[in-house]
Amino acid sequence: MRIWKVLLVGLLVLLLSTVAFAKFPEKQITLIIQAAAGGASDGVSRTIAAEAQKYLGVPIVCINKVGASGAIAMDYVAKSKPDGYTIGYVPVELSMLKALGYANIDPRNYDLIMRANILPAAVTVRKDAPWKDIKEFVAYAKEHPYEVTIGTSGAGSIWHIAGAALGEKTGAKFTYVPFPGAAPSVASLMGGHIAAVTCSPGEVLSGVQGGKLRVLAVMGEHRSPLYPDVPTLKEMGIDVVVMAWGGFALPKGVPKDRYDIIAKAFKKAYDSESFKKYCESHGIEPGYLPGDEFMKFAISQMELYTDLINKLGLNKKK
Amino acid sequence: MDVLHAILSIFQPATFTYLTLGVLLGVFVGAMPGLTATLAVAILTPLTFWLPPSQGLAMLIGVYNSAIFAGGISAILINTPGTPASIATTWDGYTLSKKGMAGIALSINSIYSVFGGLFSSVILALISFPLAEFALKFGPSEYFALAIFGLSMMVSVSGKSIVKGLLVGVMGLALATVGLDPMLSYPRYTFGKTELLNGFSFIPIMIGLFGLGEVFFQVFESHDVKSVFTRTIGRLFPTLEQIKRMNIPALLSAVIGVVIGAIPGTGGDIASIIAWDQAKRISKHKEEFGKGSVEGLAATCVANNAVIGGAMTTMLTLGLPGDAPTAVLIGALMMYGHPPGPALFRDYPDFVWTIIGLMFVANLVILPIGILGSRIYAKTLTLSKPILWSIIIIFSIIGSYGVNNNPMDLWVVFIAGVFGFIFRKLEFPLGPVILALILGPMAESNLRRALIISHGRWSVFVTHPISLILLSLSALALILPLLRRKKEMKKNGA
Amino acid sequence: MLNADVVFSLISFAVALWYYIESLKFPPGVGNVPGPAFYPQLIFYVWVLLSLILFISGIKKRKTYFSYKLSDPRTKRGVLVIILTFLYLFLWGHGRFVLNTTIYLGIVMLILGEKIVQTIIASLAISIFVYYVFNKLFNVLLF
Repeated sequence: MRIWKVLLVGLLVLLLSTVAFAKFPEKQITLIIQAAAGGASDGVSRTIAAEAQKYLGVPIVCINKVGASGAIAMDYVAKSKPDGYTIGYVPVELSMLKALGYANIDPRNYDLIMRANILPAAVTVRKDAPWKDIKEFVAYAKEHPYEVTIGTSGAGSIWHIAGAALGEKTGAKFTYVPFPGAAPSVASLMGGHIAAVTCSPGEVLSGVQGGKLRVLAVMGEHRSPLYPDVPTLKEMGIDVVVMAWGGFALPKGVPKDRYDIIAKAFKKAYDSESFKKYCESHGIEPGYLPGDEFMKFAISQMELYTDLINKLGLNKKK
Repeated sequence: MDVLHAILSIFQPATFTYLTLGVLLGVFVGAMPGLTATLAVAILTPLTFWLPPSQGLAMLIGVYNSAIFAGGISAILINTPGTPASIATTWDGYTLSKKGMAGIALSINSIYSVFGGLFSSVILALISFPLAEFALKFGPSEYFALAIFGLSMMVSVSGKSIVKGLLVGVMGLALATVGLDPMLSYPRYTFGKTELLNGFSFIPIMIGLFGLGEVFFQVFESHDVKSVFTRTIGRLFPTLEQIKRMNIPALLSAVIGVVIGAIPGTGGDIASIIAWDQAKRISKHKEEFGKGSVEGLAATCVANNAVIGGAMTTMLTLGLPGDAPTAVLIGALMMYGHPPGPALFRDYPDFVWTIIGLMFVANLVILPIGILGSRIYAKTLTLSKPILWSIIIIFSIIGSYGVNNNPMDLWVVFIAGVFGFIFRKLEFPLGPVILALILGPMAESNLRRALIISHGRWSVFVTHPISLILLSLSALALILPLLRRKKEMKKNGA
Repeated sequence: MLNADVVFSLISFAVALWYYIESLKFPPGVGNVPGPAFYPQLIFYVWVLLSLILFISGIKKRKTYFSYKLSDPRTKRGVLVIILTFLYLFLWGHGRFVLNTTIYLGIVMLILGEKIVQTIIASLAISIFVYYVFNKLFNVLLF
């Protein structure tokens, strides 16, 4: 009896896999975006999808599945059939949500395709702020504990972690003011209601160009192409690197050949002129990593954020 | 020269065609419950990459303006706001159409939406920088005061029973606390469920309470199901006397709409509710509000479209989104290599003038298309009741789900629908729930945000002039009706 | 007959109480800055007060709103429509969208008294229209 069952299953698998080997992809692919239409995640995904579908020969349909800091979408992708027809955009929250105690999201539950972009944090103040550089800013905060207010995009968000890491590393005491997203915090900074903001360089670009805001430092490994004159924290002797990033993932267990087809198409899309143009105009840094390196990176980020989040007392699972 | 050149460029056939296409699509999307103006703009944004800026933006601005306008069509005809900005339009618009005056209601919606849009475009052209500077004055304590000011209207939107109105209002406030708390991200009332971390989405609740709830109610109540809808559309245009009555509320609402629109993060829903309430306050026919007042209807139609000019002001001058659709528009402008902000005015003034010109022309195009389109939508009223109800049910469900593709929203809209039915039956007004859901989170988060910034000093709410004024107005709004009622009681008693 | 105002106020009171008890688990505020529990507790006090007022006025007025009898055909069809909607949502994701929706809308229309030919045409047309608009045009995830 048992042998028959095994044989039958084996036969079925063989049959299915020959069918699968026949041709991929043969129908439209769905790309799940974890954020609302209009944001950076959405823009990167749609730009890449528009290019990648040229190489795959089938349309890639982008679907925004919003909710719970992206947990709903990422969970959906992890539980989808690993047949290569469901792809997900994965932002930095892939490495944060578990540590925050929101949802059991782990990079190891995916077959990562590639990292597409990085977004280092930037510390921004008003143009007329009294601090010449980041050192003066930190020194002032040290002398006047809790007086300096830093706007963030919500407690436990990556830009909050960035601000908190700055305080943690330098020993300066800041008051963190959570806002529902980066745009309202920038508005509040322009209006003079808070002293500084940590968010992505692109989100303060128009304020800087318009002469209202000034970036003190960026928190990436190297300087931001948007502000070549602004130093990194590392250059200023503060060893903190915090950045958001984004990439693409498949549910775990996609057949190797299909994975390769998708990864190749996505790499070509990454190299395309329109993605380059998108990144330039939106202040996003392209940051390609192939799947295996992206996995190592995501896991190391997860360790980093778990450590930081616990230190900052942001873990909700007590 | 810039101005002239920019405006002439709009009348190139291609630009004008794309503008009209955008308007047509907006009329379609806006009137569908669940398909919002934000979604319409977002979906068109990638399409516009292949078009030169003036044509691409023509399409986006066309769809944005007309979707907000068209949200009022379904609010009037089937009590389901097509976009959240039209929530207050249901209060008088649907009542009017139930009375057989859908024709007037629809043309008021067309005419006054266009008025609001044109008014706000003038503001955008003339005083965008001062307005934006004023909008920036809104910090956490001012937002808190604005939210309280809005919440103080619960009394006036409660209708007959103030206690019942306040009670469901408070329940709405409680419902809005589900999810991560806005300051510390502590999960409240989530039962450990990931799906509830962001709380319940607003649109499914709104569509459920208003659209689905109304259908359930009618299914339980209607006697003559088998007959074709007897509802007529009535007269097509308002009378001169009605227009006279609407003039002043319309102007007031236009100002309110532009200012609220300019304040980052507040949009058409808040603006039209506030405008409705202010129009009621200055009206000589207060008793008609909520029972089919043309003034109330005009106020909401003007306000939600006037928001657009205000939101565009903040977006263009500061590079900050004034509301949700402008957040998407910023992306489109960046794609064209013209990130909005003060630098845009300095470096590309003709580009700015093109946008302002497009706002004008878009609204002028909406007028004929809107009036015509409304007539087509009004044909739904000639369908048999079972078919019309089925259409509303399925659009309510799929529309609610479509916003976030989240299966939980299917249940949210269903349960909201059942509650909408029960509340109607028990004579609980629904307006306060909507107020609570929109403004409750805004009030709480900004109260706490302001206190974090002030290091715990509660005095910030009275030392900031704008917040002091708004809070005093809210106090007046609460006390005045009570005093008036006492006076009336005395009169009646004596 | 049920006094709906009284029943509603009692239910409302019970929910408010649960709402308050739950809020006791939230972390407190720091100094003068209110924490996550402050606002829910504020809501609770107003909530209880309003429930109490409604309770008292309900006893005074003795108004009944629900005078439904299950023998009334209107009540029957109302209950059926709600149950059918529940089933439709319960079976979401199983089968095919257009088929499910056509069957669901068809039964609803028949219950509401639509003629059979019109029902078949309308339910099929609406389902296909919804599918095309939402799924094909606006990329909503249907099944």
